[in-house]
Order: sequence, then C-alpha cells, then structure tokens
Amino acid sequence: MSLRVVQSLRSLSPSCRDAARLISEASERDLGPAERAGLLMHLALCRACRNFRRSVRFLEALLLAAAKTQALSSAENLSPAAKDRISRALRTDLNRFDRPCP
Amino acid sequence: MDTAQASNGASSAVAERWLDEHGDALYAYALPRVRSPEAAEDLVQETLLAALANHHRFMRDASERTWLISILRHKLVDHLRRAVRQRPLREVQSPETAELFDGRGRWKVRMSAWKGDPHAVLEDTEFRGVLARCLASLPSRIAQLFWLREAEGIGSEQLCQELEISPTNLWTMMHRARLRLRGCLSVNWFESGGK
Repeated sequence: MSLRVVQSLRSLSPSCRDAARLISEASERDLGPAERAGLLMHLALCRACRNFRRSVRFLEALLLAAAKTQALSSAENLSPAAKDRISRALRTDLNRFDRPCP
Repeated sequence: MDTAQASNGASSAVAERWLDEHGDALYAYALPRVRSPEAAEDLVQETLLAALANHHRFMRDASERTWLISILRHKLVDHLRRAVRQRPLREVQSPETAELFDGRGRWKVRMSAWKGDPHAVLEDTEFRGVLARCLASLPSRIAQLFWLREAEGIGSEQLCQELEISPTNLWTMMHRARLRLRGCLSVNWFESGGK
C-alpha cells in the first residue's frame, strides 16, 4: 500500500483510545456494524491495539481458569478463634434441624 | 439412640471433619476476593452450613474440596452482589486514560505482546503472586465487579440489572480494570521476562 493510502485509512479509523474502548466493550455487548468496521480497519493498521486485544483475551481466560482452581488463594489460615466459632455454629444448626419430631 | 440422634451424630462428625480438612482452603480462597477476614470467615461458615443441608447431593466421584469450593463460589457471588447493592457505585465517567494516551488518542505506553498460555502460566507460583498483587491493587469495587464478570462469568446485562447500574457505567469500569490489570501484569511479568 502506498503511504497516502495508509494515511487516508488511518484518518478514517478510530484512535487507539477509541479502539481500546471498543475492544473492551466487545466483551460486554455486540458492536454496531460501523463500530466493527472501524475497529477492524484500525486493528489492520495498528500492532499495539492488536496486542491489547490479545491481552484482553488472555485476561479473560486467566480469570476463568483462576476461579476454577485455587490459584489465587491467600496463604492465610482460619484463626483458631474463628474455627471454634464456626464449629459451634455448625453444631447449633444441626440441633435445629435434626431435633426429633415431638 | 434413635435414628434422628444417630444421623445428628454422623452429620456433626462430617461437618467437623470438613472444617478441619477444608476450612483453611475455603478461607484462603475467599479472603482475597472479599478483602476482609470477618467476611471470609462468615463465608466459610455459610458454605459449610449449605454443604450440610445438601450433603445428599454430593457426588461420590467428585473431590470433596472441589465440591465445597463450588458452593463457596455461589456464596461469594451472593456476598459480592450484596456488598455492591448496599453501597451503590458512583457513576464512573472516564476510565482514567490520561496517562495511557496522548492528545491525539495514541498509546503513550508500550503495548507488548503477551506470550504463553493462560493455563500454563497459572501453574507458576511466582506468576500467581504477581496476579494476586495486581488484582489487589485495583479499587475494591472494581475488582469485585471484574471478578463477577470475568471469573464467575456473569453476563453484563444480568450484572447491570441485579446491581442496578447503567450499562455504560459497567463497561467503563470493566475497561478500567482491563487497562490497569494489563499494565500491571505487563510491567511485573510479561515485560520483565517472566521469572
């Protein structure tokens, strides 16, 4: 493509700021035809925004996978006091449910 | 001993064992999401109570830990919804992008290509630490919404309806979360050569 063609395509396509917003919003809603066309044109010309779109998809897969495993668990444990409290709550609850019928 | 007492004794032993064997893991899962020890403890308790009530639904071939974590995730979603509802979100107008784009809307920051596989990189303890710190650096409400949306996979429309927020507000907050997480992970992992 000649420089002038690239320059005129650039002037028609959205800015990186708008393209980034559209990339993000494409995960939330269906983009309109004009938005989609502008975004595709921008992506064809802009490596930075292609990389941004790639990292948005990476993040999606990452968070989904993290929720299914315990990958993001903290290293902290229940305090003995909390364990004790929960243990008592469990016993109280069982007594409530399992009381024999009168 | 009558049957009611017998089943009470058995359930009570099961609940105690769950607390001993899985209580810490449940707590450690919940804590970074709710950012409060008290709320995380309450969630462990709610989870174990729900597990007791649904004990008969537990599939013997599944892992007990996985089953309890899946109950905890439901409780966590309820908790985050309540938290957002109780203290309504401010309308967020801009995703705070002044430091990312120049006057003509072009990237000011380096936009590196992320390489690797999301599942594989999660196996890396060091990466998990970086990801946890990056999530913790987000404002708490935005992190909570982002978790509901991306990790728990709740649809945007559903989130907007249940939390009574406008779609544009949700989109702006999701965009902000993505921009900030991408920046944080790029600097602290992908551009620093991983390990």
